[in-house]
Amino acid sequence: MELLEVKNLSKHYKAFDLQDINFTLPKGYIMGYVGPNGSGKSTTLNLITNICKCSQGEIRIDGISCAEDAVAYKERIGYIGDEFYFPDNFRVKNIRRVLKNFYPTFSAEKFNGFLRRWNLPEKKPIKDFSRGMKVMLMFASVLSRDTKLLVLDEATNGLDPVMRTEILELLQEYVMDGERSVIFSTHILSDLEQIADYIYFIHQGRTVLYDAKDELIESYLLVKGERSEISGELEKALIGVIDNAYGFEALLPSEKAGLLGSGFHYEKPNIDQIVVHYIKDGR
Amino acid sequence: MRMIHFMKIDYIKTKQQLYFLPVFVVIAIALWGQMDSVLIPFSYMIFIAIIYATSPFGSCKRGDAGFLVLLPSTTAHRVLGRFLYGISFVGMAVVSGGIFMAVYQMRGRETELWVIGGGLFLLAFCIFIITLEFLILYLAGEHMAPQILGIVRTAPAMGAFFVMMYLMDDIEAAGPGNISMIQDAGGALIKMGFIAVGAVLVLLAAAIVICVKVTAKRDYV
Repeated sequence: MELLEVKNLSKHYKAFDLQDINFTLPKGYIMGYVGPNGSGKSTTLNLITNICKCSQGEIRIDGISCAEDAVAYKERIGYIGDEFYFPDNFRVKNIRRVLKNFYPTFSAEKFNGFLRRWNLPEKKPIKDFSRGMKVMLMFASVLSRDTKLLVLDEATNGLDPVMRTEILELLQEYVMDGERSVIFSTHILSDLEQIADYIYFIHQGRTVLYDAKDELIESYLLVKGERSEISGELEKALIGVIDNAYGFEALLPSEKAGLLGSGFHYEKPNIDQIVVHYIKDGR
Repeated sequence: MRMIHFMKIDYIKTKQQLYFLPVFVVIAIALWGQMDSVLIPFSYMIFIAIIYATSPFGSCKRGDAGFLVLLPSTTAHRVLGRFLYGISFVGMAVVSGGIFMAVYQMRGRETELWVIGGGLFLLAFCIFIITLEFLILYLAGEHMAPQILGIVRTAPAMGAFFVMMYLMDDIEAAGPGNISMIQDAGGALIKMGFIAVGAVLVLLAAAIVICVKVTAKRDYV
């Protein structure tokens, strides 16, 4: 059963176009939404959360579109952005009150539990919280109610490794019941390596790759060798050739492994390497 | 209920400005002491209402969208909540005007009909200005430059207050004959005042519809 369905999604700006984004995310899975700066990651996530309005296309969460039922649609979303989004002069008690007023499933007990667990001070003005405390407060606000889809836009930026690890564990716990999903954009691709089930790679507003993470990794080889040994056919098949002090490094679709002679070294790439070589290739 | 919750959020956001409200009430009473007319403190409270009505616009920042726009609600709830916030200050001005009148009567002075008529015109003017300001602020976007926002928020209110002071001076300076003419037209002034209030309420409803439509199409980043 699909939790998130994105069909033919486009958004036109003066200097940037997001074009024809299509994907589905089943219940119980985590999707990593990756790409370089300015590729359209945040735009897509802002369209999913309805912070921005799409020029074309359709988004459904649990079968509901925002146009059909804005309240039910938004109730299902838990959003954490790179930027701290609570108004500056709010205090923790204000946040608790607002959440209680708007979300029928909000549990003040759960919320207070998270505050205690992460040592978030109740009385301190939230504008004085550290970056880590602010992120954890946003997590407390979304995890203390019954959301279906977590939308994380660079949420782990600037966090220390201990906090990041804790958040990654939380995300895995979150999807464990098989009813909820996460879409997660980040530059720290090693985080995705650990937790993502699907990878959606976007570049210059267009889809580059979209597949299950393990299949994506299986689909490519990271090839290294001497530049002079690259034959004509192999050269066409290589993706994102990067020259370095020891020769070259590039991606090669696994099904073309037969083109490799004995002078090459190859291994399974990680997500980071796939992304870097595709960006280098400009395909 | 959701629009009331949005109004409450605006109250929290502007809490620090609300702390100054009692000071303005004291100033209104002091002005009343200087000029013996209920219209003076009332026009001052109208001036305050116009300034306070738009104060949540000054505390909007783009980053808030991730929280406020995502609260389970429609655009209409959000916009209506803000209008309710603005209108609550008009309510405060009306209540204070009523209190001023009651105190005036307790002191053995009667509020004349033309004063009530004048008060209704002031009220209509206040709702009209707030409607206009909300329209400008929603059409221009909630994140306009603070300097422009400051002008939009304060200029009409200050203009209204000083025009009122000028008119009161003029009425006092006019001879007894002119004053009695105004006094005689008291009943008609009240009728016209009610019509003016009704007309601006219709305008207010139309402005709400326009603001909801404009906001529904807006991107928040």
